[in-house]
Amino acid sequence: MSTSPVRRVTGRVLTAGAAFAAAALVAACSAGPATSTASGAPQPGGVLRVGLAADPVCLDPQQNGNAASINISRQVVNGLTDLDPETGEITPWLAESWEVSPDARTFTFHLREGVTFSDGTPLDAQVVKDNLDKVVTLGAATSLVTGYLKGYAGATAVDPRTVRVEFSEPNAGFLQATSVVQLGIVAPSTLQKSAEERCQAQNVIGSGPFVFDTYTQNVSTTLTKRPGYAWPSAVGEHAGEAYLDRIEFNVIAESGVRTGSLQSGQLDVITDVQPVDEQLLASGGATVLSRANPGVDNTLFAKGTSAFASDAAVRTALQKAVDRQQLASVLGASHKPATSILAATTPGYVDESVLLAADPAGAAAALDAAGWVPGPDGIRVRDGQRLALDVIYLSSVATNQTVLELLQQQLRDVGIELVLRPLSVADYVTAAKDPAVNLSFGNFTRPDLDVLRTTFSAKASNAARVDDPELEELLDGLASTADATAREALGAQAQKLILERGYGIPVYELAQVTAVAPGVDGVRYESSSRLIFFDAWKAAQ
Amino acid sequence: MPDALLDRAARSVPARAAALRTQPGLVVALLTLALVLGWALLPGVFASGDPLRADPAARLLPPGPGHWFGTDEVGRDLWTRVVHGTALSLQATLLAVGVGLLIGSIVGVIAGYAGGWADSLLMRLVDVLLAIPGLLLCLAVLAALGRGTVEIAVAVGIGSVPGFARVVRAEVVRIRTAPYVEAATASGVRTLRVLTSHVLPNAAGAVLAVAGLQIGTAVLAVSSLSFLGFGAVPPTPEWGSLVAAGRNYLATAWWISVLPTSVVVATVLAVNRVARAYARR
Amino acid sequence: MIPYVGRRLAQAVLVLWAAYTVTFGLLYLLPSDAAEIMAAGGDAEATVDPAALERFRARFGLDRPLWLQYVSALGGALTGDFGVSVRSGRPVVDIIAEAFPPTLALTLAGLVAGALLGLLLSLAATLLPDGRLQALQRFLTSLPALGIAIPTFGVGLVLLQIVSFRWGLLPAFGDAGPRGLILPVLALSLPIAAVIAQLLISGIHTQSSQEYVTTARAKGVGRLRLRLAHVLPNALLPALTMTAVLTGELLGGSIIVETVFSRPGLGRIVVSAVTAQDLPLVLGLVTTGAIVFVLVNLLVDVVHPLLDPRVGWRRA
Repeated sequence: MSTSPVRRVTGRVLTAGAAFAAAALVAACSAGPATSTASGAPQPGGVLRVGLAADPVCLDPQQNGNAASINISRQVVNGLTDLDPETGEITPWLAESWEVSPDARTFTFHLREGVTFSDGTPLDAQVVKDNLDKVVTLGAATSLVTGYLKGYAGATAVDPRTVRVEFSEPNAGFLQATSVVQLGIVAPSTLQKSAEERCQAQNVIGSGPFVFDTYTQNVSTTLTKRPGYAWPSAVGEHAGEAYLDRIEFNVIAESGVRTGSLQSGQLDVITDVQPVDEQLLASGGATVLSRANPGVDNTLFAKGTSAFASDAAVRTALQKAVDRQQLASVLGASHKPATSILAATTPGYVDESVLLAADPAGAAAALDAAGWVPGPDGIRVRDGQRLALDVIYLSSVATNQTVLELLQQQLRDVGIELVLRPLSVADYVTAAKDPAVNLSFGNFTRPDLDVLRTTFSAKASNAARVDDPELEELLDGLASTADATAREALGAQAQKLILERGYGIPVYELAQVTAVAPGVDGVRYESSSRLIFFDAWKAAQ
Repeated sequence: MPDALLDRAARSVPARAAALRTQPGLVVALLTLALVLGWALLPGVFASGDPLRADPAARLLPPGPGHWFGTDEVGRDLWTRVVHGTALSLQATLLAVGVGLLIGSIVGVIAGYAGGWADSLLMRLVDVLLAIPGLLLCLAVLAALGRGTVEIAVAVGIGSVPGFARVVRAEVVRIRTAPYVEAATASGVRTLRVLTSHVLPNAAGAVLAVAGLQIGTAVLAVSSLSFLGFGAVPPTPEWGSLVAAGRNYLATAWWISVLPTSVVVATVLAVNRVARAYARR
Repeated sequence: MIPYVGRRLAQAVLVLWAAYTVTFGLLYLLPSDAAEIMAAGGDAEATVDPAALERFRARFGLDRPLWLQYVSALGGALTGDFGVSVRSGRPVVDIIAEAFPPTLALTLAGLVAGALLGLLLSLAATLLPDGRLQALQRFLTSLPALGIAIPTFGVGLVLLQIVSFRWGLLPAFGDAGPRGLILPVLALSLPIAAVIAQLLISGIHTQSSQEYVTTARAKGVGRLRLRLAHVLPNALLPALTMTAVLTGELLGGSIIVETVFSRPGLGRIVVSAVTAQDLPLVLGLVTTGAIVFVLVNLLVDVVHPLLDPRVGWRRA
């Protein structure tokens, strides 16, 4: 890969480490050796107490899990490959090396020797084949995962350490997909369980540096260190076992309680830090780590089947009316305004901020030209219809609310009414099927250009219900082109086209924001912006 | 208004004025309610701004001369939002109480007046509703109706049906067996006439007092449901959702939750005080 | 007494059956497609493949007519089988059995604390001699109204900010023994205390003007003794009639308190089950709530006549 597409990666372990080292230096000069701050060589041992915003519900990484579930299972399950979050390069993990056929239909992986699952069974080609076979038929809840395996024709165990995966159609995104936790490799005993049984902690057996210990619904999940772990990916900072003895994930739904608990020393790490608390935590000595979710930004998807969002002029107006810079002030330091349909942490991202500059006059002009004239209450009308667009979104994400309320005001200024419809996950699933809904607001996380295809292709989830042959051709190209440079060129074209035609109105880069207490170091993000605790350690108290 | 109530009101004006002088608490409560009513009817007079207008440059400002209640996380004036949210909050509350009062009264009157098997059947039905704890019932109803202020009001209202039905039934039974009513029935006055001219007016006092207390309960129930994530549709200001939304800023901007909560508490206290005074007469 | 108890027991069973049926109707007649929501497994962006949806329907019996689903669900419920949670795949009975003890501990402690606080407050507000300290007495008498008017989640969050975060005295979350129970119990008990105190204060005032008190006072019985030995027991009796209100208050309050203090228990499960529309679990939880409620009231109805001879066993 010639260019490094990842422009902005904050909060890597080195940055945090440097900050701590500096702090320790100051302390050392004034008051002798500093013991309360993590500095110097990592120390093994200790229990890390983590505060999560939601219950993981199902701990099987291969089934659709929420963020909490992935943050936990990522520590337990390894993938065939890993993706370096800084360079965007795919690195070896359970597979030492691999070959991809030029038509992107055949992938051959050579497995590392000596890898065992935590129940003692060895990793071999047959286990990998069984994993892939099972994922495809695991149950109703795996549409995300089956997207990764589009056109899967089968796998063959060529020899105990070589597995060949074949597709009936090109699937250039598959190599990257082997790095995501949803295609992580679990032990044969897990594969034998039913989909429901696999959700339970004791049934998920992986080959990772930690092992499931206990799970209590809505309360906590604990992991213990796996002795003898010796196969970290090249992205890891050290070799051998993890440093921590145990990790305790507590479910704490209230963001204020998570923040207060970290500040008062009752927790070491908290996720889902609200923008308003970032400064408070930093001033209290905590380190705030953030990384944008790679993939499609938090975006208004304009549904091609609806009354108003199907109108190209309305979509153009929406794209121009959104003032992304104004939003930045309420989003805090971690969530950045969108500069493309993809977040800057996505390999293949292209900066299109010129297309996304705020232009209320241009928005008004587009609407005027299409015959939308201001009505008595300031909202535009045409043929007796008010220009009122409904937007569905998940009420559980606190930041959504703030952002959409401000967007509502920005759109009102150009004569568009935005009707907010906060929904529970269950209601959202139903509403997303309704062709009359104008807009939906959300993101799709995946550190690969293929996310454009899975999001916008009429043959995939098609969040925007687009029917555009020109775009479809570009998206097909993303799947069939194995050559990285040619694929990035296609991706750039697709990003521009989606923005110009207003299929997606990107708003901001949803980021994962984590706070780490003083005395804890080595917490980092993997390429999908999930947490990795392999390198984490705690200074002795 | 029924004649009996008017009579009573006309008779006791001087007495009531005297009572007010000895009860400063009641005066404060009445003034509070008058103010709240003013906010609901003429919000523009008390806060001329736009409750939805966000000004990100002026976000999270503490209370001060320009913003009496401070500003929220996108820079909206909280005072304006509280004042303009009054009408919707009161409507929701009155709807909730109205649903409970109406259904509860119908059930209670029929059960109390008809007696016999109809009474048994209706009161067992009320027991069924009563057996599902209030907040659980609200959550189940909300699951069916979806999210929104009206939906919450209806859910809370349905939850209060058993309470109203029981009070109304008890009152009706008490009055029906009173000598003057029995006399009226015996002298051939029609059932409906007995109900409207004797039973209902006399039962109204106790029932309205309960309704007054229920107003406070309803306001709190709505804010509890908002806290659990079933609040009013944003960005409409509504007291319950204002109180619930501000809780994330307790450590950084206390005013966002504390000041709207104070308004809610003051209103609930005032309503309860007045309802109690009314019940004691 | 035996026929009375038998009749009440029969009524209780009928009420439970009706509550189960009402809830089943409410949940399974929802406008949205229950199977589809459950099959999506909580992922909003999941598009469920139609074939997989059919498999799911068949697995959970959702492809049968509604009345058949009802009959088999009711039959299961009668034998203590409430099916499995759609989201976690665990038996509903197991989930409820696991979450029941912490909620029971919380609510019982909340009830005891609330009763004690309410009793103390009502005594303090009425024992003060008339005339002197009238302002204090008035203040104490008005406290219960305030306790009822403040939302429970507000009380809980403020307690957390001050006691746990600022002073660092008590844990903010989890189920860490008795120390972890103090703040949640306090938040839960305040409205309970307020309801009880309100009732007791008015009861004590009413009783104090009764003839027997005047007589006793004329005989020279001391003020404190009079209150504790004569007035209070009589004022306490009506509190029994508040059982329904208090049970509802405790169960509802525990939903809020468990959320604020991140405690395990039925309340947390209720909220997540309703949000995810995990219908078998919601049905099981509502039924559990109804069983608790009916049992408590049955107990009170049976005990009340024993304590208060004026109340007979004839009617409910």
